[in-house]
Amino acid sequence: MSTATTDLVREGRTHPASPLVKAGRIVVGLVGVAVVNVRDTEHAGKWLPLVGLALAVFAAAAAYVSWLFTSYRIADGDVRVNSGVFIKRVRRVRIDRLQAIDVVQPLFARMLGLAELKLDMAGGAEGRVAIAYLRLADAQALRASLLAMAAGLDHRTPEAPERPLLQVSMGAVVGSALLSTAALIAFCWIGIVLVVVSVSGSSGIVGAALPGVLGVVAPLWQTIQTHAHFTAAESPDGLRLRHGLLETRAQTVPPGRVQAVRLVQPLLWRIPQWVRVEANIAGYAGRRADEGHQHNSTLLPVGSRAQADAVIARVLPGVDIADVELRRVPGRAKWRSPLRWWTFRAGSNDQVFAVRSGVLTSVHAVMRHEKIQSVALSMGPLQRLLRLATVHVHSTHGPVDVVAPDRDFAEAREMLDVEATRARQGRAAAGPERWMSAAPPADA
Amino acid sequence: MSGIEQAFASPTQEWSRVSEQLRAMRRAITFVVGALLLAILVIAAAASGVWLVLVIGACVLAVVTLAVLGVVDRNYRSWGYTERAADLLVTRGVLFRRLVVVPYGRMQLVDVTAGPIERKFGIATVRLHTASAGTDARIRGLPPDEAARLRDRLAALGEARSAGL
Repeated sequence: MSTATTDLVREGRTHPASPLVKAGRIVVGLVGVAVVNVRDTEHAGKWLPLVGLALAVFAAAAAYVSWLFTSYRIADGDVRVNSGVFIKRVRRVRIDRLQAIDVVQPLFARMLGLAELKLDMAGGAEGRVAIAYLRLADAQALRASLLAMAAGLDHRTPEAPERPLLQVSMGAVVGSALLSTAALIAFCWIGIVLVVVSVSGSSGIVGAALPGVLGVVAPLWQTIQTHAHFTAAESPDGLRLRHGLLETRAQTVPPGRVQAVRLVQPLLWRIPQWVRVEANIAGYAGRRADEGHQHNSTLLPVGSRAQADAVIARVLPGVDIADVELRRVPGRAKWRSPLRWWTFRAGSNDQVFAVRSGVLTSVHAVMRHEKIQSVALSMGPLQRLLRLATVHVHSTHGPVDVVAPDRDFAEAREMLDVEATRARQGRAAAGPERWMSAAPPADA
Repeated sequence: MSGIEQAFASPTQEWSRVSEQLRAMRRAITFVVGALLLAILVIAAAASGVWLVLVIGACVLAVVTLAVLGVVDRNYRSWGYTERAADLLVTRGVLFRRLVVVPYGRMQLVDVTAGPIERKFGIATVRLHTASAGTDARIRGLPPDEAARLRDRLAALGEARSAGL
C-alpha cells in the first residue's frame, strides 16, 4: 500500500481564539502569585485591579501578535509548526516517528470549546510539539488522521470505534489519594500543627505553617485533579485514556509504544486491594519539568488487580506476567540491603524480564525482551566482597526501572547473557514501525 | 581466572584494550598535581619556618601519589570492549565494575570526543547513546584511528539493524 498518495496535506493557522486562552493562563498565574504574596491588603485593593487589567491587556496583545506568526503545515510525511515573531522557529515531527498524540483541554480552552494537540516523537529530545489551539472536533479529527497515517493507513480512515474497558470512580481516586504516602505526611504535618496550636494556645503558628501544609496538600490535589474521571477504552489504534478534572486530557497509547510496565501497591492500598499501573511510553522522553510523570505514564491510577490485568493485557498482548518464575537473592545480600533484601525477586521467560521488590510499597516491573535499550552488570566494592552483582535492564525515560539488585554474581552474568540473546531474537521477530500495515494480529 | 572475574570476562577470548596513552596521560596529570601540592608545601614551610611540615607532608604526598598511580594503572587495565555480531560489550572500573551490552540496532548516536589534554596524548573517547539515559556506554583512551573506525562501523551497523522503538 503506497502511503504517499493517501497522505493528508493541510496548512493553516490555529484557531483565532487561541491568544485568549494563552493570555488567560498567564493572567491567572500572575493573579495567583499576587494573591499569595500580597501583605498590605489595604493599599493593594486600590491598585491591584488596575495593574491586573493592564497585565491582562498586555498579555492578550502579546499573545495575539504571537498567534499571527504561528502556523502549522502537514505535508510530505511530517508535521511542521512555525512560530516566532522575531526569531523564527520551526518544530518538526515525522509522521512515521509519531509515538503518541494527546488532546489536552486546559480549563480556559474547555470553556471556549478549544483543545491542544501534543505530538510526541520517538527519541524526541527537544520536547513535545504542540498545535494550540484548535476547535475540539478539528483537533480530534486531526489526531485521528495523523494516527492513521502513523500506523500506515489512509488518512481518511475514520477514527476507529472504541470499546470501553474500565472507569475509575471518583471515590477510588480520592480514597487512593488519601491512602497514599503523601497524604500520610500531610496528615502528620497537620496533626503536628494542631497539637502545637492547642498546646501553646497561640494561633500565630497557623500562619507560619500554612505554606508548609499547602506545599504538602497541593500535590495531593494535583493527583486527584489529574486522575479524576479516568476512563480507559480499547480501540485498534491502542488504549485510549481520558482523565482530568479542570484540565482534561485524552491520550492514545498504541501497544507498540509501551516499553516497560509496572504495578505499584503502596502499603495502605493493600487494605482495599488497589494497585496502580505505570508505564514507560516511548516518545514521552524530553518532557519538561512542568509536566509530571503522572500525566503521561499512568495507565491506571488506581484499580483492582483484575482491572490492572485488563489494562496490561492490552499493552502487553499475549503476555501473562504471572507466568514468570521469580527467583530470590542469596542470603548474603542482607549485609548490603538489610531492610529490603528478602523482597528482591527477578526472573525471565521467553517474553519478558520481570523484577519485584519493596517492603512498604510493592513494585512489580516487567519488560519485553525486544524493547530493551541495553543491559548492564554492576558490582560495587561491597558487592564484590559478598560475591554479588546487580543487573540493570535499560528502558526509555519513565517511572519504570527494571533493576535486579544483589544477585549472585554468576547468576547475574548469566542473566545478562540470556537477556542479550533474548533481546536479539525478540528484535529480529518484531514487526515494522507502521504496525498496522503488517498483517493484522491473530487476536483481534 | 578467579570466580568473580568470570562475571566480567569477555564473551570472546580477550577484551580489546585501549591505548597505553590513557595511562600515560593520567600519570602525567598525577605528577603535575603532585608537584603543585609539593610546591604549596614548600611555600607553606618556608613561610612558617616549620620545616617539619615539609618533611611529613612530602612523605604523605609520596605515599598518596604511589597509591594514585596504582589506581591509575589498574583502572587503565580494566577498560575493555568487544564487538560481537549483534551488540557491543564495554567494561570498565576497578572499585565499581561495570559491564554493559549495547545492541547495534539500539544505538541512536555515536560520538567521538577528545579534550585538549586527551588530544595532546593522542587519545579519544567514544560514547554510545541509546534511547535510554542509563546506557552510559563509553570507551576512553582509544587511538584516533581506532575511534574513527569504531564510530563508522557502529553507525553503519546501527543503521542496518535499526529496530524501531
